[in-house]
Amino acid sequence: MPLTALAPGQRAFVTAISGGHGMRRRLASMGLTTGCEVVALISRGQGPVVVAVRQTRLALGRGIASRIDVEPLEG
Amino acid sequence: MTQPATEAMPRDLTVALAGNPNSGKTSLFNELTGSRQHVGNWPGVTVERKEGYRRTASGRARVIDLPGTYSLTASSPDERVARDFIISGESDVVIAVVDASNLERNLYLVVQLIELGTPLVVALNMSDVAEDRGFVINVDKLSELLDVPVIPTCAHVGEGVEPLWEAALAQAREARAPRPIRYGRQIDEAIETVQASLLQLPGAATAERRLVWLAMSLLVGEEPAWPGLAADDPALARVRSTARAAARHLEEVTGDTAEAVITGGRYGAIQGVYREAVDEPREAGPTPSDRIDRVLLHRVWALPILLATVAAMFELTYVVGEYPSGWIGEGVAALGGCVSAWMPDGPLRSLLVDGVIGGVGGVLVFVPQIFILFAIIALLEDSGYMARAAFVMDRVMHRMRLHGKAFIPMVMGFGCNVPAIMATRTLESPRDRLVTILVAPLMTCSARLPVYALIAGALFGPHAGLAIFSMYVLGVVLAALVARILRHHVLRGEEEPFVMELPPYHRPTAKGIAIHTWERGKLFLQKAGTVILAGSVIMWCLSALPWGVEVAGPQSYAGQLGKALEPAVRPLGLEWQEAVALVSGFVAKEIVVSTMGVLYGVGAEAGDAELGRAIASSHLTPLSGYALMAFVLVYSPCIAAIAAMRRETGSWKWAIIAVAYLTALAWVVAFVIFQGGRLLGLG
Repeated sequence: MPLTALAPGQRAFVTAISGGHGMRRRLASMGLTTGCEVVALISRGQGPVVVAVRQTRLALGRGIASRIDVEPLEG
Repeated sequence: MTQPATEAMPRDLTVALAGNPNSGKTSLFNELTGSRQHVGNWPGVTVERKEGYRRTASGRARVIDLPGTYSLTASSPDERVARDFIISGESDVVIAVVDASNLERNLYLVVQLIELGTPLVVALNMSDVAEDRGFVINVDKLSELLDVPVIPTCAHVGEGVEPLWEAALAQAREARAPRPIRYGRQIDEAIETVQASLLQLPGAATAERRLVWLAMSLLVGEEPAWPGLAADDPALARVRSTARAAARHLEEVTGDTAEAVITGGRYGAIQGVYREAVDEPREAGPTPSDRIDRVLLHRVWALPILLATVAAMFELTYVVGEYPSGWIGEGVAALGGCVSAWMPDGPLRSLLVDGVIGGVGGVLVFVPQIFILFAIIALLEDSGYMARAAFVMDRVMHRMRLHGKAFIPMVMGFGCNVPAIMATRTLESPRDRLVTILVAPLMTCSARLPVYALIAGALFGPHAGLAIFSMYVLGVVLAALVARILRHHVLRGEEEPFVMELPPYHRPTAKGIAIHTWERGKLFLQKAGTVILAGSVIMWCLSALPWGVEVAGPQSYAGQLGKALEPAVRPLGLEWQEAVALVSGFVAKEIVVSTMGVLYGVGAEAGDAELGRAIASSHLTPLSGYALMAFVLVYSPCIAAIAAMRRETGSWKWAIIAVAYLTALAWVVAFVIFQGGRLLGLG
């Protein structure tokens, strides 16, 4: 499911990032890579989302966030 | 290890600071260099270059603050500048500034610095914050695993700076590159294959340190230059085909792109180091910053809080700034009076009192406001709130077809358009940046305020405040419309995705704020001392020449110019005096006030009140006065802003386009206001 579908507080693994070469590279340099764990902090029906990844808080616009696939973790 | 003094370094050592944005790199730079800083640009790009000096036992060392970057993959001008500087070998040692409470991500850059084979020291910064949050970092272990000296620092209070400096100098003297990192068998084998091929190239021995980085760049498909070889040299072509084969092999065995594999390998190596050297707090609950964000980024309250912050910022700027402004104003008037009393009446006295003192003094009055505004902006930036403001405004800016980050330069534009245009550097997409630069001058800068204050004060009586406020609103509305149109029709293209780090909140330091405020405010003072001084003198000359005519009369050069331009401004309800004033405002918009003073025959010592009375009894009506205010808001930015546009866009083309479109827009807006008002019977 896309990152935008996570509920606030929900944990998930990043399974795929579909986006241009440059975008993936930029996200990686900010800590967001496939296989890493994210926690949704702010996730509303609209507007950008905020996730915690490797102790960083990243704000992601809806467009890019919807192209990041995640697998929610139980619990 | 002590060296005899006779073996002193033949040249200054160069120490470069590298680090992520928000790692406290700037604070550390300030601590290292104090006030001995020089700010410039890197050649060919509009990336800020900061340089300073610090004493060493044998002299001094140069400290270079590289742009804050998350990586060195050269996907932005900032990264390219940082990477090329390190490759150039100009620095003897690099200090990697890392945020101890965000170590894993920060180590990504450190790993790349190790790949570059430069002598390196890690400043484990904000170690106090990390400790408070429950991180236990085994510094010796970290240092051993990275094969790099690691020194804990708290740059914002100056702790650990001296030991860090000593370690950096020692590392520079030794000139030892850290041991290459192991990324796992498959990646290491691929690197070795490419390295072996690189070693066949002429001059490979001298580039030995960088072979790891060169090999990794080739594996991800980048084409680094090789000194002394043309890009199409057959020897290089052999290396490239070896690299392509190695990358293909890597992709076959892993089933992923080479780039993804290498990124994964880097983070894998980092995780290995991190797990061994760091004990994370057991309960990774919400941090203090997360709790603050729950309020400041609240679904409902975020926008009202932001608007209230901006309103408070202006209130503080103008209410508090009024006192020192008043003192400066009195000082200027007193100085004008003194000179008038001591000098015999004549052209020289008039030049000094009306031209120089009146012109520059009228601008200096705004220095306190500008400095207060920039200090508040620095406070918001250093505390971490500005990043939240960009986040909150992203949706609103999105409707203007602008990036959320464009909000920051727009707010700065209320102070002065020059730093606003420079602040667009934080925008990654060149298109977003250009649009922001083109609409930034529509933000009412503090230079326009005295013009509004004069006209509105003279013509609107008790409603002056409302009339002035409406100008701010008009500017924002026009900026939104123009941005939409530009983005739709002229600078089309995909919108840059919004990706931004929200750094943890922290208490800004007085020193940091003082330095930021001074850096930006200085631009305004320079403007007052140069273009405004020159403009005032030129305007005075135009109004006093040719000799013998009535000063500022219709026969003076200024009067003749105004008369020539009068047909253009007549449909706006304006006459030749305003035409001259507007031309003079091209130099700096504040000058409109002093020009009107000269043209209405009111000198500097008389003050604004008398000029207001002169305007009230002139041909200007509230309607044409309002059209004039709107014209002043919109038309061509001042020379300093035009120069900034040229610098930031890299050509005259966009600066000239901005001047042309803004002046045309100003005329249309003023025309609609004046003629529309007349139709409605307001004239």
